[in-house]
Amino acid sequence: MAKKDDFFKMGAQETVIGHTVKLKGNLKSQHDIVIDGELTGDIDSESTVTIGHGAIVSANIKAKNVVISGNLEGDIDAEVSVEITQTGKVLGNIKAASLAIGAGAFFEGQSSMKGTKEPPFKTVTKVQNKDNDIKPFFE
Amino acid sequence: MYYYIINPSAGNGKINKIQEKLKGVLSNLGIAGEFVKSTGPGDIPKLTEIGIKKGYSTIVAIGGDSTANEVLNYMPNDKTAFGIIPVGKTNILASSLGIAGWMEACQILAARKTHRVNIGKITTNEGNRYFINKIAIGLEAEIRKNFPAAPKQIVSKVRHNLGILKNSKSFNPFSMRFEIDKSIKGDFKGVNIHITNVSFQKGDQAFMISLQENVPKAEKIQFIKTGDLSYLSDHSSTLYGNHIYLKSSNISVAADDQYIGTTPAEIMVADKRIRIIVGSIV
Repeated sequence: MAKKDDFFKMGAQETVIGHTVKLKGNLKSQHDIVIDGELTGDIDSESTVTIGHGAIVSANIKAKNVVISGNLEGDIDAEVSVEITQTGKVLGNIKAASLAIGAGAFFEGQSSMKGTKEPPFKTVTKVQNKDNDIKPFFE
Repeated sequence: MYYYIINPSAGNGKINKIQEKLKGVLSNLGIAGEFVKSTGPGDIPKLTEIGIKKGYSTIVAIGGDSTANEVLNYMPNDKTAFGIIPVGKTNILASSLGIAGWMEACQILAARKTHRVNIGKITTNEGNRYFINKIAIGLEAEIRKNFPAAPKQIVSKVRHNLGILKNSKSFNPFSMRFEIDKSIKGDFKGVNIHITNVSFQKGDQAFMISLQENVPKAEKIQFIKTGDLSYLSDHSSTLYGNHIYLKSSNISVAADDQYIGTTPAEIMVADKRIRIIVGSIV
């Protein structure tokens, strides 16, 4: 993981890395970052990071939202959401408040939810059965 | 104390048609001054130096981007203000400073709202050059080299624009190895690289680096009529930085629409700032 000062600060608008571009280094931006090419390095964005279909990225990502339709090897720390679309492949751990994985997507790693102290299913909901016997819905 | 440098060939000689009216407007606004005309290549730098030696507080370029850039290159510091009255074929610089046309430019000069800006410096094998707006590398620079100015006559103009189209179609993509702020290393394959001075805008970075992978199909008939080169700005990548090093060799380079040489090239923020009279910063 890169040190805070190692990051290359990007400009006042969206940063886009096209199909024919290969980059090595760390990116930091207050704005969206879209990667359709290749990147080796870490990414820090206060907005949305999008890894496009066919992109090859080897990076740890810290962002508000992350959408992956390409290939990512690295960990994701998202303030809000992570979406792996049906063409997306992620090899790494994900921390996010919300995680969506499309049918056909590949994800190998651990995921943990942000902003919740315990998983919602621990909040036990009880239902009444026919015999008026109270049983927990989730154990 | 205003000193106006006129490029009589700018905008296919548009200035000659509006010159008297322009002088009248400037006079009514109380900002009439000395008017000088360039007579050929290399004249604008000399005229700029004369204006500065004479102690004028404001030097104004009357022409397009290339005229403005020539004057700019000889502005020594931010003590003398620099203004533009856009009458050229391309007035991108004026437009980025919130100056829409020559009439509005006169009002803006009279209001004299100045803004100190960073300018760019590019170093190639041919030497150093300052720029205020944009560096083009690749196809656009080739076009600037091979087709420096659009002719006035319709037949010649059509031939000129057809030549640009042919040049665009036959242009082979090039590979470029680059480095940004000594921390990002990159490789790119495409037809154009544009490095635009965005220090006018809010943000940490002085330059926007735009990369174009392919030449899109231009609307042939429309292009032959207008010669509009906006199809060269169909970028696929956008990055930002303060110090860019273009390592690969022998790719054409243009500064503010003028061919200046070939890569390798180093682009950085110049150690001098200039004071520009602006409308509103875009």
